[in-house]
Amino acid sequence: MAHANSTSHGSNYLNHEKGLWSWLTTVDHKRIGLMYLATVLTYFLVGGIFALLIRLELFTPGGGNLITAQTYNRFFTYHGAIMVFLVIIPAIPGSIGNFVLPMMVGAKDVAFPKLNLFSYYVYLAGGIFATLALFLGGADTGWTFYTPYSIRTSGAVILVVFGAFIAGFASILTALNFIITIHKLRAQGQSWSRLPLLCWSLYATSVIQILATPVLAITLALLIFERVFKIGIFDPALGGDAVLFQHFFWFYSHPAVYIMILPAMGVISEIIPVFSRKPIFGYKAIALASFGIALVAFIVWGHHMFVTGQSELANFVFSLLTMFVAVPTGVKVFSWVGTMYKGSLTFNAPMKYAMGFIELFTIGGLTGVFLATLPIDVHLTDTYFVIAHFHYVMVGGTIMGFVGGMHYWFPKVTGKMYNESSASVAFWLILLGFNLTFFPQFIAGAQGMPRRYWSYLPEFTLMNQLSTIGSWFLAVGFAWTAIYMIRDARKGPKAGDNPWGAGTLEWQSPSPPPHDNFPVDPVVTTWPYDYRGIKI
Amino acid sequence: MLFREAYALGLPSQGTDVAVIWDHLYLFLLWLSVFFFILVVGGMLYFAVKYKKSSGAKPKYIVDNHALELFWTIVPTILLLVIFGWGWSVYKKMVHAPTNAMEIRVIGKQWLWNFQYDDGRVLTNEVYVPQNVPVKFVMSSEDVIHGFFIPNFRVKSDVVPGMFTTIWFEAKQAGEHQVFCTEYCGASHSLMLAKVKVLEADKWEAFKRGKPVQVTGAKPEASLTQLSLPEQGAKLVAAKGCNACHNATGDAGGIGPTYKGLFGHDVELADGSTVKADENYIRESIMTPTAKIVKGYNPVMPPFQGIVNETEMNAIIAYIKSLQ
Ligand code: HEC
Ligand SMILES: [Cu+2]
Ligand SMILES: [Cu+2]
Repeated sequence: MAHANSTSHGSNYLNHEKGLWSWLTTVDHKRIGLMYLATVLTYFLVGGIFALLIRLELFTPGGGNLITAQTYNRFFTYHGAIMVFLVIIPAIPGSIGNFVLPMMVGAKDVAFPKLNLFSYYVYLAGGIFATLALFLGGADTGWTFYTPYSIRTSGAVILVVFGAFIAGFASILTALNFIITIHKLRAQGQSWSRLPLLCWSLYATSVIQILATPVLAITLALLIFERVFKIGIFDPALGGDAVLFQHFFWFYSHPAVYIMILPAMGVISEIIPVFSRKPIFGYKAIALASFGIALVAFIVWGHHMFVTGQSELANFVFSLLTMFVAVPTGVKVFSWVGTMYKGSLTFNAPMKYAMGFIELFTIGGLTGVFLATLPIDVHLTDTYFVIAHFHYVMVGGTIMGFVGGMHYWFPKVTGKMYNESSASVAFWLILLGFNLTFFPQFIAGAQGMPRRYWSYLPEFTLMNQLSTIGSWFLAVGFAWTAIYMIRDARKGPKAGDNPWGAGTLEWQSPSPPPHDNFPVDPVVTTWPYDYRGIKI
Repeated sequence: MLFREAYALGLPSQGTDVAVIWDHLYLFLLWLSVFFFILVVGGMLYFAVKYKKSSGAKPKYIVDNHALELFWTIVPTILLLVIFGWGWSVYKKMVHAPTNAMEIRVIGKQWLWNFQYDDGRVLTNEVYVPQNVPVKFVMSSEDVIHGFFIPNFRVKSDVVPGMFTTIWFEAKQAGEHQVFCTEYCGASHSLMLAKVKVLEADKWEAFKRGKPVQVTGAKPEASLTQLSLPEQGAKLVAAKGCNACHNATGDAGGIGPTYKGLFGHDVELADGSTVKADENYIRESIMTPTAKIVKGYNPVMPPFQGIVNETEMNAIIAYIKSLQ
């Protein structure tokens, strides 16, 4: 290592080199992970503020109590685009994945550290483009950019689309790095069947990212061409096909749903066995299920389009195939609960979040079966039922997994321990706030309330008010989490190297880890979920 | 009825037979979901109490159990196939209109619905249909994608520019049924509402002959002639879809200018000139809106030539006059 001879280096990755410049130019996967984390959380804050404003406007039925219709439409566009492209997709792979994956396989870094740094800047550039659009005319297309509306409306649609386009390349590069790292840099003795489940799920995610993201890129590029050069692709007025865009868009965005959820499933698969002191139940089934989901993910996009005039045959096939997504998903959930059976359970924050994940994700998954069922979807699609469904999956699933993971690896990343009772308060606020925010939306949706409505009929008032009140609980819960995490990262008590008694390799390294991750190259002799030899 | 209310968790009323079979399937899914939720989350909480470390639980080394895993793969698969089959049978009834269905054409445009009858009549944001007769809507869009949704009938379809889509229903309940636009279509998407007005046979005959009809269950409306001219105008601007873009509150944030304080004042136009808002200016603004564009607004107002007649025009002008 070129820098090993310098004497001023500290003992761990945090003080190995000092100064802002050393962070901005670092190729250390751990530091890059933290840079992703900081950026993702910043966007989470921004996207969250838009969500709160949306909910505030919806506190009363008629429109315009707070913002005009045009402003409202911009806000839900920003909320959706920021949360999907800049938060949920990169959140776990970019931050937790970057930090943990190389350590889990016992490597010094990812396979291509410089490419890793580059991908962070690509992501940042995408975010900056999208953010610029807020100030240069805005966009009111919704995060789905449906044509022909997105071609005809005024504003800086191109900038937002270009931002999402660029951010896509960041995920492709990260995915490449992960796949090659897993293939080439595994520690001695770490056979495939000893690979931690987080690595398996990041692997499956990466495969989807590499295969699906280019389709999004092409679609968004076509959209930009059509807007700029008026070539008829998606706008019937120019000779295009309005629905074609939706096919292209969902060909990416359905698999993207699994890009968003699989990493969280990986995190949950790490947490539950550790806090049950018992091997993960059905390791092979869980690993396989990730790939089963990834495969089916590519052939179900049409379930977003049951009412677009798509042929009956297409609806038949897409509905049937979508049913099969539920099978591997169910296998995972049953296996997690099965892991707890005859365990010895403790309920630190990571475990609380894992259990919260199971509660919310189960509701999200079951309501997904409603939407997969053709006639049921006809009534429920484009209503608040769909909004509730995907928030249960994306927030109840991905964000719970993400926050659970942030607590789980907190001692490894910072070398300090967070305060358990502070975390408990936040967890309950978030769990209750979440259910209060989103459960009423199922009911409003079944009653018929359409999505993307700035003004709604009086019969939906109660459900909307409950939802708005819930959003404040959620906000307080997340704000409190930010406060105590920053506090404890600085002043928390020292954490040991392996405070949870986990079996994956990252816990064999000191907390926080040295620049090169491991003082001596680790050798793997057992699979990671056997806790019989580990003392806490 | 009470039984249904308690179990249906706020489902809209059942306006058609399709809605009835739809509700059966929905409630089946609902209770199946409740069962699985209790199984998974209840099981998890039970384990959490039973095997918590503080009560001295010792972990058992279990890695997997193939029989159990096979069981929880196969049983859900079978259940899902059953759900799919049931769904398909309901779906076919939902989308296959009987061949004798009466056709009405629906045109969506930002942000109103026009309904075109065989006899040439065009209604905006309200459509009268006969009770117990299958009706088919053949729908298209003049601009972007819209969505046509009647919750009480459990039917919905996108309304797509460049092609026709259809829905059908046979309404069992006379009265008014709400219509929503469900595909986001821009600023006034949430105001793009309409009503399906289902008439009993005798009222339907009257409607066909052009007579005014009182819709069952609707607030007893004073017939137009019992209202003052400005009151008639207020009803008309709501019925013709003007309110998707205009308001009477003086709020400047809309798609089009507010009516308040318009009449008799100078209007600044996009080309820099000004014009006094008198009767002729308002007529022109409604019939050929692109003739003079108000400064600060986009030329998006559709022409109402042929849709607003002279009697209606006078009422609308009187209404705008009254908003000083
Ligand atoms: C799609 C939106 C839309 C609809 C629907 C609409 N308008 Fe307009 N209207 C506008 C816009 C935008 C303007 C300003 C630009 C212009 O002058 O064309 C306008 C201008 C006007 C004006 C001139 C106002 C002024 O301040 O000078 C009048 C009067 C008017 N509309 C009446 C109506 C009436 C009556 C209806 C219903 C029969 C109607 N509009 C339907 C968008 C709409
Ligand atoms: Cu999907
Ligand atoms: Cu709409």
